[in-house]
Amino acid sequence: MRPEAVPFVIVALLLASSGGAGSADVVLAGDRVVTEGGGSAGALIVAGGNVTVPAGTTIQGPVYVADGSLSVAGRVDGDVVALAGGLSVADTGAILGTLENYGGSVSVAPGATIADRAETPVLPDRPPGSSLGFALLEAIIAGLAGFLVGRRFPGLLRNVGGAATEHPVVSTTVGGLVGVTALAVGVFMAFTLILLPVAALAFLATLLVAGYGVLGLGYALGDRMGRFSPGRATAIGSVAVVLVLRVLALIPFVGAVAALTVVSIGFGGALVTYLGTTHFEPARVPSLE
Amino acid sequence: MTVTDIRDHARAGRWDAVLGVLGFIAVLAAGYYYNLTFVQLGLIDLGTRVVGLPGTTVSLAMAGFALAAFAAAVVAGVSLDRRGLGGDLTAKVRVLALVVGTQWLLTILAPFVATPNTYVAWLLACALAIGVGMPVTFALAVDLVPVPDRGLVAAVATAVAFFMAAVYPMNWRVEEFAGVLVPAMAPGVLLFAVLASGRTGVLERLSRYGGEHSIGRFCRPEPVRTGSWGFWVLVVLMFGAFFVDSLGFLRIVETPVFVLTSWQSPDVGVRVFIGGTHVVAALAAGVLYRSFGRRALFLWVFGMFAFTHLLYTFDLRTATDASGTPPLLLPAAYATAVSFYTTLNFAIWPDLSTPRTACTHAALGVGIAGWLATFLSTSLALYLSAAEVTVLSHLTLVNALTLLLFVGLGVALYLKRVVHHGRAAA
Repeated sequence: MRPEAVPFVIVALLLASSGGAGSADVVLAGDRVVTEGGGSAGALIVAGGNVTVPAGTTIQGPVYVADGSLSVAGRVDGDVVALAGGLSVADTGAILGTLENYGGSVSVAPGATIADRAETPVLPDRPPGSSLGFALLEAIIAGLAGFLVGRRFPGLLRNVGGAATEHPVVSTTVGGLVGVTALAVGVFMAFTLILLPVAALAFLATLLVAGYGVLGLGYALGDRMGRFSPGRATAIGSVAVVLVLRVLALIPFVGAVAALTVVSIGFGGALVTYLGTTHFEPARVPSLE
Repeated sequence: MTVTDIRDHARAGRWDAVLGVLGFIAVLAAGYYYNLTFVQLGLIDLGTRVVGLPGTTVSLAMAGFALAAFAAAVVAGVSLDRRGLGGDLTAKVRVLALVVGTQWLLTILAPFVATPNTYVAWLLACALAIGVGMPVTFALAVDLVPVPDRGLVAAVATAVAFFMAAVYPMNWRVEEFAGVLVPAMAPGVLLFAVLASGRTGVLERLSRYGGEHSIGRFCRPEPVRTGSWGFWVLVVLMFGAFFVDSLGFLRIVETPVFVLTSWQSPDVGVRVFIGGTHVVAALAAGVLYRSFGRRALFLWVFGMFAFTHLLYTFDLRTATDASGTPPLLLPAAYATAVSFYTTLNFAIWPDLSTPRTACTHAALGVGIAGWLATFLSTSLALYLSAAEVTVLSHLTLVNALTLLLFVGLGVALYLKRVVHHGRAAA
């Protein structure tokens, strides 16, 4: 499963849970041929790999495709929901419920049987220039948040920004490790369905702390840009950081790694300073004199 | 006054001190690579395939090997310190030269071992050599490695050893290992022989830095005594890390579906991925070691192991089709946990030592935590296997142990704070 598929998997789990599924069989990677009665009694979630329902086989729905691919040559007795990833239904395939497509790549052979079909594109084609508008909106939100937090709690942001700029290696290491671990723990908590609300909250909390870390970086940057009040410095710096992240995201791979590193530095800075409540000082080897 | 580190040596042009650090990394990484490949896996192949012993007998022999290595380490470590040789670089290099030479000869002879008796005799000789070599190798840190750099040095040694072990050699057969190691060890044997001869003056020059490097980070201002709580609590915690690693690993490498995404994977890409994860995780552990206290690091180690085994048991519970390859997240989490505690293990014993206790602390620490834990976990794994315990139950047991260690350590640390604040208030 790719990290970018995590939100789709969480949405799939939420849909499965709200649909009354007591359990979910999640495919994360590899090739899987679903046999009749071989899966669990609950929902099937394709979160990676290639899943095949062979001809002559009937499985119970619902089936959610969040990443990877699902090939249906047999029969699905229930709904099939394509959130992302690929879905193909062969001539011999049949979906006895509704085939709902939100953002997947769906291909249905002419001879396939589909009881009902719904297309709800979540991300419709956007007009040129809308990306720029979205980036500007993000920057404005970051600037406003930075202004409010920077004016009200300048000491907290000073600590976060200080840790991030004075100890970038430690901040990146802690931010990266906690970020990756939190993501993985959150996904596996979500898989239990019972802990789904906790996972969603943890996901939100992680995002908020990462955003707070960006404001900390913004404070540190704005403070270096000129003699501004803490609120203005944070606002200007946060806008700059968000725009830099947007520009980095345009560069394939290297840009994404650089952007993740920047976010990790801020996230780690927020964590090692206990959300800015204390100044971070790494352990030192005491001198013998 | 600041404490000298490797950058200070480089800035001042003391390149012999820098070379000493690099030499230590090379010795530690090579020794650990030898242990990971030839000892832990090559000898199992030697016993089962070449000598033709049943797997259970070989596992018992390996447990005995661990026990013999532990005994040899403690005897050697304590003896060296009692004779005042723990802080004597020349003496330690001479012992190590003897050990490396013996290991080289044993590696040459390994493919020719053909009977159960010679196999056991070979294992015993190897255990004695490794047992003596281990505390001496660790104790070199008090002469060669600046105290602030020990975490990073340990991290680099861990990264090199695990990356090499994951990527090379291709076949897990004793002949293959011997074919790689015999020529690779030859220059090392020669170098140690030259250094041990005492004719180069290198060791005398390196000994000059011993005073600056000798007192470990956790021995400042007061040295950690061998009988103190502070020392034994860390031995027990490290024992826990080795035990859960070994107990889980022994079963994972026997489970065919997990082998596809492990060190033994036939896919080079998978092995490079695991090796790369080891490198990144070791370097992260080095950064954390330098920046944080011991407690935070042990919490990370146990937390990572608990999470890793949770992933494995989760995969076993949810995998409905045996043909499904487990996600790479599983070995990545495992490699991270292992790199974390190995880095910690490499750095912590010298940092708990002075020249008077360096060999003893390394012998007790690594001996009890490493060898004894391996002996006990192998015995337990054999018992569980004989009792026909399923993979899921086995890994659930390991998972329960790691969770217990993680939560137990967290609660213990919290209670310690409560007692501290309580006393302050009183």
